[in-house]
Amino acid sequence: MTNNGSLVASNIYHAYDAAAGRIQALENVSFSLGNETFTCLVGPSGCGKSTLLRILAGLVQPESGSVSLNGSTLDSPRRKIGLVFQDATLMPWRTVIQNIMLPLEFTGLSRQEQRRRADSMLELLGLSEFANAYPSALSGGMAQRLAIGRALIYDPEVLLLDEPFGALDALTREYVSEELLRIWSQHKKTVLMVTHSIQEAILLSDRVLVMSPRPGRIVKDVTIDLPRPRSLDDMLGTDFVRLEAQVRAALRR
Amino acid sequence: MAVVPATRSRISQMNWFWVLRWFLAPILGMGLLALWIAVVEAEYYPRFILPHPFDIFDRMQVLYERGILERHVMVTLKEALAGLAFSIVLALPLGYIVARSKWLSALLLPYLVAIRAIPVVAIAALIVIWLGTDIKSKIFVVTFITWFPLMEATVVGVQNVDSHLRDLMRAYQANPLQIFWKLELPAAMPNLMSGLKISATLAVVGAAVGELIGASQGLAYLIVFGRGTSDAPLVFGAVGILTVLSLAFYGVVAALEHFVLAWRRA
Repeated sequence: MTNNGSLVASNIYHAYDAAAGRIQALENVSFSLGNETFTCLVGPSGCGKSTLLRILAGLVQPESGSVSLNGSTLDSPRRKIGLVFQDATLMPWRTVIQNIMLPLEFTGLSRQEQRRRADSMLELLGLSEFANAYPSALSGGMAQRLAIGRALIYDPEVLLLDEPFGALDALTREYVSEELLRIWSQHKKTVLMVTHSIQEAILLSDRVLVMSPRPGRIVKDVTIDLPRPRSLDDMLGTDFVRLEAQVRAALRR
Repeated sequence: MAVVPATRSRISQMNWFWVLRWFLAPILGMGLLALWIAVVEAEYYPRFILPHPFDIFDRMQVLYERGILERHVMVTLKEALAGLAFSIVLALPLGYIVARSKWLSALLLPYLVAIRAIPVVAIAALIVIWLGTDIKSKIFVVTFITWFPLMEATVVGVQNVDSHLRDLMRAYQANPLQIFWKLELPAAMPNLMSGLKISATLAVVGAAVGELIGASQGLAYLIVFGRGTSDAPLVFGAVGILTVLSLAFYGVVAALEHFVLAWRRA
């Protein structure tokens, strides 16, 4: 398992048609995500971050350029990639445990094995007591944790998160991002997360990629060398503040 | 400080609603019935124009005891159910196609809407020429007036499926059949149930309209027969049973909805 979960984007260009005409969303985007690293992508609104994530997930084909996973070109969605969106996007007609089992229903796993994995994932998420509740009974933070668990349950090699905390209030946001770190430390994956929050990006990741306004390009690649495990208190440290200034400067350029 | 009076007024609102629904509404109904009886007994109108409620009841009782009523009710019931079944088989796939395919939707939708716009009574003559006056023509009329609400509900339900859930299903590499069963059908179910409630009620109306066009049995045939013999109690009775039948159809679908959409009450 040497190169599991290495995701490479090479020279991606993408444009799409909108009401206002043709929009150049991405321009020559290239990067390589190492195995089991946590990377955040920050950039101004509308810079093509979500488009880039959909391309990386294999949901959209770029106009030119390519994405490869473990060295082979990605031209359709794969189970090796887990997805989390800004909204939890749970199925309201399924209970919590049925929601988290959903991805497993398309694998060849036996019913008992599906159930076993779902139970242990709910335990990891701290949602066991809600197993038979419907999503309408969950708070926003619980629902988003469930969505993260659902993305992890089939053990993907890459996890793509599109502003996963964007719909949460500030306190819940901090709590769920710490939870994500805890879960990630137990299920190491290659993670790429889109976020608007510079602090969140630095707190969570090994590396921060900064995008320019549209058409999106990677304008800065900042390595976050803060020791792990990290906590919210680290935000007060001088190293943290230095990195924050560095990212902010790149965004303003 | 403002919280307490607000809570109190909310409780009193609830009480008022309860009183209205379970006490005043039945009283209103009984009052109207009493008014009806009073008008009849005052003999403002001859009884063959406005019959006494008890005359209607007696007339139905006689028909019931002879087994005639049951036969006509069953005929209308069968027409409505068969027509509705055809409607479901036709409208759901059609709605799905229109919702999922831009091309077919652009091609078909104008014609579907045009067909919907034809008043069924205007083509009554054609229906009789083509299908005769047996059950086929009634099933046609029922299907003709019930398919559109169902199709519309299907289109809206399938079009409103969360696009991110669709993305996820693609990422799970679900096949189209799995996407249908695990995502589209349950997601569209609230819309389908609303459409079915409308169509189920219309099904009884459709059966009656079909019988009015030309029939030898069924509840609306009793109405036509009653018109010919100036039998107002028979007409009133048949109208009453049609109404009850229509409500029963609605009730069955509402019960089905309650069961199928149990998750919405959780």
